[in-house]
Amino acid sequence: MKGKVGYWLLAIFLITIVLRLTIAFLTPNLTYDSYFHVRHVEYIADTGLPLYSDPLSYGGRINTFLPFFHYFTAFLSIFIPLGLLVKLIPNIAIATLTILVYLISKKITNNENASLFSAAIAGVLPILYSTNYFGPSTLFLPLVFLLIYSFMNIKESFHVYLYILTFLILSVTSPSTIFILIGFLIYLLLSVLESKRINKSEIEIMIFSLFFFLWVQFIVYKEVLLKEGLGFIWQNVPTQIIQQYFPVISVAEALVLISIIPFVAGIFVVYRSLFQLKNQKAFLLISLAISTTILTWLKVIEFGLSLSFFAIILAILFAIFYQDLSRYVQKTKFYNYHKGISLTLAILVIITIIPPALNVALNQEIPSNEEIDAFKWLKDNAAQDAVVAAELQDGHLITYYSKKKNFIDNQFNLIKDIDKRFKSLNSLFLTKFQTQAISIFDDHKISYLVLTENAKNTYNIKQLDYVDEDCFDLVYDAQTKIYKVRCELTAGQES
Amino acid sequence: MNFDIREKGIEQKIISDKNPWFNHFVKNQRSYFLLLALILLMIPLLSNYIHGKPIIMGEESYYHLSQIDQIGLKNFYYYPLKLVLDILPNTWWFVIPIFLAMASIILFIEIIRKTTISRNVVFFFLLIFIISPTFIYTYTTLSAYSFYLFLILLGFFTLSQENKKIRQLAIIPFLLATLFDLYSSVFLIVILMGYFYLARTEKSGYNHLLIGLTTLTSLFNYFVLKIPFVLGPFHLEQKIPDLISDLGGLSGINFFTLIIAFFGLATTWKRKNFYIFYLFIPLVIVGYLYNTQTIFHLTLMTVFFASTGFIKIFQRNWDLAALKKLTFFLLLLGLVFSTLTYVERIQDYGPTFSDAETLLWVKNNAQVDGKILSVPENSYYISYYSKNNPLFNLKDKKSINITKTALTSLYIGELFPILEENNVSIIYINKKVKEQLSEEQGFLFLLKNERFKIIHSHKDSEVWLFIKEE
Repeated sequence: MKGKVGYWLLAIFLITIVLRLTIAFLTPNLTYDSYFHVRHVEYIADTGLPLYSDPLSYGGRINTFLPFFHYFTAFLSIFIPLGLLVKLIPNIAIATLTILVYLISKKITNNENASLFSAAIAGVLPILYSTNYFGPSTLFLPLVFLLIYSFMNIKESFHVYLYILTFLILSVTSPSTIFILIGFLIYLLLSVLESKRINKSEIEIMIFSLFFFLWVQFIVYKEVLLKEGLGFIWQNVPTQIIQQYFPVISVAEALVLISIIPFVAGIFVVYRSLFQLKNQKAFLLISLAISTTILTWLKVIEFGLSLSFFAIILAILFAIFYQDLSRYVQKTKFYNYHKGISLTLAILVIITIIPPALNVALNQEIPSNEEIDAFKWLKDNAAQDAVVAAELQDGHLITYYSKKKNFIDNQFNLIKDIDKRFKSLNSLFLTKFQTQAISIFDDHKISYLVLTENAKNTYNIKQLDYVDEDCFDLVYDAQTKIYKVRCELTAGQES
Repeated sequence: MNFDIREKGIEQKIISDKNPWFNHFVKNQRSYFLLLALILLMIPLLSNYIHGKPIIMGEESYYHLSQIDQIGLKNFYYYPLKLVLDILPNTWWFVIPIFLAMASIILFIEIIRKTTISRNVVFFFLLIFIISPTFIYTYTTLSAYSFYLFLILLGFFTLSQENKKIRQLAIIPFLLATLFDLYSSVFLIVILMGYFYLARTEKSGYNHLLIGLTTLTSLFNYFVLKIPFVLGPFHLEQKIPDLISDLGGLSGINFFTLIIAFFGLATTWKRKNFYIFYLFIPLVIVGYLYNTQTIFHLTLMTVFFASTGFIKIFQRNWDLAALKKLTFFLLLLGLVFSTLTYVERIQDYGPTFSDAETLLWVKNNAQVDGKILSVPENSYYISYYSKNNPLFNLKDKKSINITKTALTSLYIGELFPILEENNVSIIYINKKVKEQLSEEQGFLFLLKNERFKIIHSHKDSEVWLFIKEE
């Protein structure tokens, strides 16, 4: 890497970090899902073991997950306070994508300017601007691209080691690693179809990856596999909200999130790579993109993660587009305007990417301080073994801030009759009949119900119709309301 | 220390004559495989013995035992089994499947010894087959297919003898092997045809006679003796879990074997001497889709391709030699873990001591004037222990639907007419029923109705009387 280019890349990386961290620290709290991971990191930091037998989630359940991300953060928390880490790690990890995108683009195009362009795009992709999310996918994405980079250089021994190390970490970070294996399969098929010779080391490393991945998943998810069978793939997500996890998003929305210019350029490059140039290096990226699309369509990979991956691939493919465009322009009578065209392209990219990125960053799903205060209040004022019901997203706030058992959260694996439970939750917020609500409170031994602004928005309600003074005590009265349940159906009315 | 992942210049000999360990195992495979099979089969049986459970387990075992109770002209082929069971005390019945397993392994090795089939393929075939859940389940229960495989191997063993007169005796085990179900008979005929084709034996009249007689007997058994097309299933079928044991199936193939089988199939595809084996692929797949009980045949085929895949992957030289060792180790670990998980799990299969106690109580104390309703998996335990008829009957598709409707009833208005119309007088509830059905609503909740009365219970097992309206 020449000095000047190195400085440019460093600048892109630093700007990305500064931008992301500024937004992250200016925005209070973390996204709802993040509290699940924070709690598990804290537990590992305290005990050294993952909390697979969770006494609070769903009132007590077994929940297995791949623990690398949590161990990694717990280890770093020895040196840096966790409060800082939860914002530093995800944002630094995502920012490293700029460097990885540069390296992969450079490997494919051997064009530094084009690669810098791609790196800059990767630094501001709107879909990646959930700056206050703390979870394994923030580590997963850079690792995937590090893996792709090492795979592209597999002929060198150093990269074989790098590949193996990265794959080992990926296998214990996220089950979504499966899309890489499916991508490899598609890559093999495409290469065979195009009569491209496949490197022997590539095949060997694919075989190793397959068996290692299966082995790890088999060990970690043994119980889930046996109990849920093939349903394990779909994580036991209730049918009513499967759409929320794997939404059918409009083309326009997707275009904004992955950005329109890289998308158009990507389509052009995919067409040229597959049908005209038969570029094997691009085959790998295209295969991974196809694999992600298939697995998302089958609802195996979460939509957000898949779209993020797709956007980064498009950013890389943009380098090929830029290189082709530059070469083409130089052959025409506009070759004198080459720099002008690059500048126009850069401005266009900035205009179409930065506003949506800021919009995503400013509209993250984050609990307010007021909501968090309510959950903290529960910690000191509710009985130790109290079960608390709240909107699905608030589930992890109950276990994290209140340290109380929740009725439901978004970790659905191994939960029996999950559809029924989710239906009961909806009834708690929507029913007009007190007997129905109390019957649910009885069945699940729920003693508190939290009504947050988030719940009001989700269910489009202003208050709970069945709540009255006879059966419910309003024990916390702010924007967020907490009701203590006083009645039981079995005891006639009031117990 | 300079570790090179490519290990250039170092000979790779995981699967090679130059590997002394591998050579030792291959040379002594008979002893090792007999020992391995014995250990794997004894673990669940010993566990049953220690926990006071009936040693013989599995629905199919109790189906055959019930058939022996009703032995007659229609199922005369159960006489040899009845004879053996009469000679052996109940607690020793478990030696029957173990004997069949041991004998089948010995026969298989002896048959292969006389062929040119690679001993490496045979080694991995036996290794993967013995640690497969299908093998473990088949040979820890009284299973029709354990007898079937033994007879086929006995037939081929006889057929491979030098003495012509002994060779002609092969017809006997082959004809006996057609007494189980039509599907297995067709499978046998295809094997025979493949054998004569591959062995390149002279077109003798005996070969034709053997195939002809086997075909005719199969048809006779099917149309006259009314043997089923496929014997079973003995549990509610689930296509995917019944195929992959790691997904909670009753037996099946482990996931790693399935993956290597795909490798085997992909790498041997279009190899001339494999054409004959491709014939079996549609046969076993269609058979499995029709009835998951044929997992036994599918396993045999899958294990064959897995063993060729295993050899294909590890016999060739790898660029990344160190990775080859690691992958080999991972694969073995995967297979072993999967098997151990299955062996641990199979110990929970029924019947339990409570099942036996409760159903024997029904036989001795309850005057049952109708059928007994329970989940299909309990049906053969009910027949054997209580000597009463369950509502679910394997050979009656209507009863399958009725049982399903009754067990999924939400209201007494739905349930009572079914019970009355089908003359159900006893409901048998055990751990399996409670696992499958919710106690908060549906069938188990309906038992709170006054027309149901619990008349006996032991641990998780309960006998409920359904009081008919006067």
